[in-house]
Amino acid sequence: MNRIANITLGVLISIFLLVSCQKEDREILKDPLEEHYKLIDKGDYSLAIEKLEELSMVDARPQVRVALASAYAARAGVRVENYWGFVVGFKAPLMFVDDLKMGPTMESLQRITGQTNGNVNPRDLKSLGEAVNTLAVWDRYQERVEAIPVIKEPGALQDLQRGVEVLSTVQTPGGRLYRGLLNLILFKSHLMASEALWAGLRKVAEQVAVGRLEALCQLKLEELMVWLPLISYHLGEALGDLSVAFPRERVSLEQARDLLQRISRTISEGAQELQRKRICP
Amino acid sequence: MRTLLWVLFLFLSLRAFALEVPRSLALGSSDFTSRSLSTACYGMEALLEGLPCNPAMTAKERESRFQTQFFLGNNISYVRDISRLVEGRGDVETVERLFNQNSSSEMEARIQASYLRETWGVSYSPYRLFYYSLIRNSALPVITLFAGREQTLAGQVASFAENNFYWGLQLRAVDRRFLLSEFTLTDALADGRSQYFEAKTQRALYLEPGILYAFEDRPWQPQVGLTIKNAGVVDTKYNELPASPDWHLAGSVRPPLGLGELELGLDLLFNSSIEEFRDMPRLGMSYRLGAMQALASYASQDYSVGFLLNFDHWNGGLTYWRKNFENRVGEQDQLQTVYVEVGFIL
Repeated sequence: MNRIANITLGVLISIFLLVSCQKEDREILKDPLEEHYKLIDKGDYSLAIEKLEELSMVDARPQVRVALASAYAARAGVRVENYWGFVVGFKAPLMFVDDLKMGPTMESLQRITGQTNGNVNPRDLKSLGEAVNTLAVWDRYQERVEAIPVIKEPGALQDLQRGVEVLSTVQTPGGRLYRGLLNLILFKSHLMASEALWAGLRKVAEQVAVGRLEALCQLKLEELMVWLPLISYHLGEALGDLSVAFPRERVSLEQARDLLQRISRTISEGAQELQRKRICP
Repeated sequence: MRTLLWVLFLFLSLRAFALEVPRSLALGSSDFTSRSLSTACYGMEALLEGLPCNPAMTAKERESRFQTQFFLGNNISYVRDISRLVEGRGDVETVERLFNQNSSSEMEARIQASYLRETWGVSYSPYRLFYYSLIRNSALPVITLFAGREQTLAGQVASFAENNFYWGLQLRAVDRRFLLSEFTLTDALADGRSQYFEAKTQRALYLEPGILYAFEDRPWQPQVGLTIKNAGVVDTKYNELPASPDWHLAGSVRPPLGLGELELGLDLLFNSSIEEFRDMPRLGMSYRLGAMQALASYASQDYSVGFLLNFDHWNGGLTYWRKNFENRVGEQDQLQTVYVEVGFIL
């Protein structure tokens, strides 16, 4: 009896083992990205870029493109400790009119509107109001914007630009948030690269604010015409990226991008007008 | 050529890439016994907690006992830092601290009660909590998280067959609820992040047989056995969780000493994750003198030293475990963990 019980148990165990030890349905592989992350962490960025470029030719996963963009960013000197202050507690930079706080940029713009005494085209006044709102966002997020790193070397800027291009087809929210971050770094880097132009623009704005319109002639219009579209482009792209990263805020972010494009176009047209009319000596 | 590239492209894109999580943590075989004696416990008489590793050992003559334990492994600070990072809190120092540590982190805790007597035993663990995280890519942190809760009910039956031959069988039911995902820092901050924190469940039933042959009339009392662990069925398969069984060919000797009881064990482990021969053998040592039991284990990639104290009906143990591994920058590194266990035996 004991022998029969043992044999029965043995047969049952054998059947169970045969069922449970079946080969896996699919072949499971180690993710090749792990080796590339190691290269990035070792600081071997160029080799990581080379390998990831090769991998991206045969592997369509968005993670591969994000890893490739991060390798370009790392070679440009952008690592997590450089931008952590910007992303920590990150939320889409949206605000309502009621939330607006007075800042130096807003104050000067409001002085301009005060001095016009109503002799302004209502359409222009609306545009100016939108500009006030946009710049107020900048004022409010100034501390956070200061945490965005600035890249100066041309080679590093090219790497960042390549990283942004690599991510242009990625549609995952996280991937696009990273692209938005890289675009903001490019935006700030280009902004700071022409520091003299930026300082000049601010100085002119202050003088115009107190009624010295001739100060407009101090602007280096040709440089401004090249520089302005570049920074507007990166800021616009960043807003587009954020609208994918935060789909619930898409409408507001797209409105902000449209507004930015309108302002940029208005300033460009204004500068062209100044050149065309040869107002300045 | 272009067609070939497209075929390769499609082929690679359709293949499944699995996250890597420690097999011992995923399958719940990282308890105090395993950390102190490694898998050599499958061939050893020494019983530190719960049910024997090889169910055939249950047939050996012993006093019946009821035991409860609480088991905890450390690394709490690293776990807290990872949580802060994932939640979008923390400061630059948090990030730097995480990236200064080139290794993964493991944490676990378990409560278990068991009753064992000759020929049968049961154990129930209402809570086994585990946490594993790995962070890499200093340009854009990629985080692997494996955390969860497990309940286990196990029963063993065993019998003496003939000629010093024993057999045993363990039936183990496991209910797992866990989070297993990999994401970048920006994935965790953007919309849709909840998809990375969705809990998964798995119910598993394992049938784990073991046999043992003991040369009990020899002075060193050698014994050798075979145990099949993690042979079972699951309701949902996950690529990341190992589903193939472990085979343990294990044995031990107990050299007679004038003072105390010494036992030396050796296990040869076979499973699908073993890639090199040197990863198969594991050694274990137990030396018991009065209320104190010294424990040690050695394998090619890890070793441990610890002790267990028995006082009245209480017992408590501490094990220091050290593992060699290739860290995130591709260098050989070491992970050190201390495990603590307290319990009582009636």
